[in-house]
Amino acid sequence: MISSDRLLGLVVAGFGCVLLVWLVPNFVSSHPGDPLDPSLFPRAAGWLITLLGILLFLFAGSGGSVPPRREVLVFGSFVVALLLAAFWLPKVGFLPVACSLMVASLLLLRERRPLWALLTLFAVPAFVWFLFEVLLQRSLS
Amino acid sequence: MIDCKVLIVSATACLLANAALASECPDGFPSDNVNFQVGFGAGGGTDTVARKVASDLEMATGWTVVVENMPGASGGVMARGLTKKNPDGLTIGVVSNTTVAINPHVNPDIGYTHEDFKYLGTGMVLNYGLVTLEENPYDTLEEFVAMAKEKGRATVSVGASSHTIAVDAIAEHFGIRLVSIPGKGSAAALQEALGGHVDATIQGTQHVPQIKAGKMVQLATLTENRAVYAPDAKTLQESGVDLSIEGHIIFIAPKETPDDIAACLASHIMDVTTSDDYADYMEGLEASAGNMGVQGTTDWVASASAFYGDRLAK
Amino acid sequence: MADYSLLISGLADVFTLTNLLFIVIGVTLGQLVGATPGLSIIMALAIAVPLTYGLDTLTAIAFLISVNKGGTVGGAVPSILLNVPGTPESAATALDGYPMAQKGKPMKAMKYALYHSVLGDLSSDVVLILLAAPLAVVALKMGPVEISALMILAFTIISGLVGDSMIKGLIAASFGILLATVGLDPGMASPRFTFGMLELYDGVPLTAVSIGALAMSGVLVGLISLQGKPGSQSAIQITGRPREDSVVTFAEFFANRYVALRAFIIGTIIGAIPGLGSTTAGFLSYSVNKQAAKDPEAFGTGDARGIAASETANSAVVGANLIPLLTLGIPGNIAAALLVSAFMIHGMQPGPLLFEEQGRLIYGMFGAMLIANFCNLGVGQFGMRFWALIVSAPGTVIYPAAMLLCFAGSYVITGATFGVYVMICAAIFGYLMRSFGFSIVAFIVAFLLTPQLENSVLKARLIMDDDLSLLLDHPVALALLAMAVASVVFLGPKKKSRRSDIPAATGQ
Repeated sequence: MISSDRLLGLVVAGFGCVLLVWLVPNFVSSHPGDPLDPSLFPRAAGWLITLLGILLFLFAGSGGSVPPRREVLVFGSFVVALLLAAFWLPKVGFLPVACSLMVASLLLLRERRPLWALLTLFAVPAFVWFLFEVLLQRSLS
Repeated sequence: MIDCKVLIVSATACLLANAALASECPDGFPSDNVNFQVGFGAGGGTDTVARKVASDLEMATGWTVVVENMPGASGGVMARGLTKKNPDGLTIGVVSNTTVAINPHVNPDIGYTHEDFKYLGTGMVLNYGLVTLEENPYDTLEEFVAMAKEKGRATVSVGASSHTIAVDAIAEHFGIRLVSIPGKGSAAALQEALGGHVDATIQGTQHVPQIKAGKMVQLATLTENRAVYAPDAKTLQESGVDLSIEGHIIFIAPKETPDDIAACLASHIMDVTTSDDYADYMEGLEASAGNMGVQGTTDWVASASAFYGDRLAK
Repeated sequence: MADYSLLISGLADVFTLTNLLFIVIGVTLGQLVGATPGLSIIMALAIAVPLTYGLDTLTAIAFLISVNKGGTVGGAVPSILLNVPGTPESAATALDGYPMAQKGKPMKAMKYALYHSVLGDLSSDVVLILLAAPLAVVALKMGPVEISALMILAFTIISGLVGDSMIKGLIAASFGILLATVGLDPGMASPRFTFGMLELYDGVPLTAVSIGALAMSGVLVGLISLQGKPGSQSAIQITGRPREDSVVTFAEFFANRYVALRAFIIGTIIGAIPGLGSTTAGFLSYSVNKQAAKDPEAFGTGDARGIAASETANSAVVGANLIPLLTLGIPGNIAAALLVSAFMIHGMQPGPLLFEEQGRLIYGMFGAMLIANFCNLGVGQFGMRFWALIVSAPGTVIYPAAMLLCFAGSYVITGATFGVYVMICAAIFGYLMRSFGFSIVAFIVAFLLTPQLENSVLKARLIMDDDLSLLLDHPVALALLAMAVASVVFLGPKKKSRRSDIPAATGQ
């Protein structure tokens, strides 16, 4: 298995190239030589990313590793739950979304103690709702 | 003490206003909270005006007026959202002239023009002026131009794109090289000028206390008439430059808002902004309300939009 | 020079029951908001401003200042207990606070943070009261050329924080620079990388990014570590520790005096210059103190000096930030801008005449600031026990609650789900960076500093007409640039040879 750092170096340098040849020319207006040139900093970032990516590929260390598959799965599940929650928030309101999100976390965490589970399920959304809607007067949906 | 006085004054004003206007609002309006959506962040001039008008409106009418900040793209994010809102008169946008008269010309993604709104009036006039540090050796526009000619160039810090237009117009008229130094807002522009890093700056309100303190002088007034706080400074038009710019804080509603509801909102906003209390408040900020009313605002925005469209096309 | 009768009557004004009550409420509210991941001090202030309509001017301003001061103290709490920074400026506190808490000294870490925060705040208030006018003049002389040089120096100093791998740290910083260029460019106001999305015109919202990359990614790491251990107890063990692990003696506090002094000077300077901020100050001070230490490798392992460096500096910014506001009428940061709106709501436009016209009010405000510092200490002492109690609930309650708070907080920033999506993206990015050993801190700091750097470089180029020889007219800028070069030359190689196994990013 190749070192993950080497692979990362390639990915980073590749992204830097994409940035320089496609993203910056197409999504930033460019006026070379003008002190106001909007593309100066994006271009500089592009070069930095490309060069540093190549350096990482060449001098890959041992640091960092791909997290175990189980961890990635759990992480992915939480992210999906959050995305679904964000998607449904404007449609069904905060409290239903919040409670569903809590159900998802309890299932993912396999909490079995009923008292704590109930606390997470109902008290936490109610508390957050109270904090924003009532105390801080900020609408949540 | 002062608070009580203010309260009494506006309370009487409200009673009068209510009596006079009760018939103008359609029955059952508003059916819910009225929302003021401010196109800028909390703490700026637009936000301050929105909050003042909102709290005065609450006192005058007994409605609940909620103020929300929805900053982004000089009010563009909020204004674009407003065009898609239910036109029931319950959502009112509070923006500046940049939002409706300049944004549509500079940003192709903005997705609205000044014609997509009903205008309900204005809340504050910005007195644009070209100002410089008192200790600089030039006190008038002529002396400033002479300095720029001698040095080959002069720098002017600006806080918004409409200011750059004024700088370019001055440079073009006098045949000098003026470099606009763009900053994030007028406060940053003022800071450059106070530190002596630029030769002059264009300001809307924040320069007035500096002039009163004797730290700055007004080289030229950019509005149509001379400014009260700087009666000696000539307007650009007096100096032969064919340009006057003015800023307003504007109340807008979606285009399809029913006429009777829009009229009711506009007349309440007019009452609030023409009250003595509001005038006192504006005086504290070295500004004035100058509410142009529904027709006045609509016409002004149309002409401002045409003006900027023309200038920016160059 | 000062009018003493005005001073005394001003200070006396603040000692009313109403004012004291509002100061305590403000400090408590600020600490609560600061300690809640997903809520920012700016948000708290924006919410508090309308609450002050009905109050008289001094009470209103005292209340707002207290909220601000409370917030700087509160942010450290979740950074220490959960490695979930409550505010971006407390992210530097997490670097040593969380390891110290893991070693079984959470109370001690919180006390270090509280005492140094109050110390930094108090000292900078004293500087504000005594030296505001001369400092403001000096700060004004920092023009775009000097600020550009200062930003470059800040970048080189903070690169000391990049962590295990220099290359990876710099990559993280480059991504921060890239992300900061999204939105309208500062010169021509043309959209960059907005892909037609109007929401991106003002850039990627900083608060959403910091909630996501710092707080939410920390929460997710916490959740993952809980998974499969359903019976787990609290996230961190607080009770049942020997006494010396939960108190800070005066000797221990005093031992950090040089660290605190350096941190205080950095915080005050950064605060006095409009446009920089407490997050920059915290990280800058952490870096400087780490590099100045005889044993830099101890930083990041739960060293009290790290907490002292970060907390003293980020709190010292709060008082100093008012210097440009009170002397020149220029708000130094968003918090000061919100204070301006409070002034304006009460019919005052801050400017150079503020002291002359409103002297009594300003001295009253100074009095309120001093009182608020002591309230901060008292409320903080009490609050610690409260937080300790909350965190003693099982992780299956605490982490989902923190997740929901981040979710709601990022929604409220923009009043739309856009903020939530940005936050989730930042959390994914933050998690990946943690996993692969990239420094989130380098990423966030670069993201934070770049707009200021780009803006000043642009202005500096225009002012100097792209003629580098004009740099000779700017001796301060030259000196700062020389310091930047020196910090690369002298600190760079030494750092390499000393490079240790310090986990530099939060959460490693």
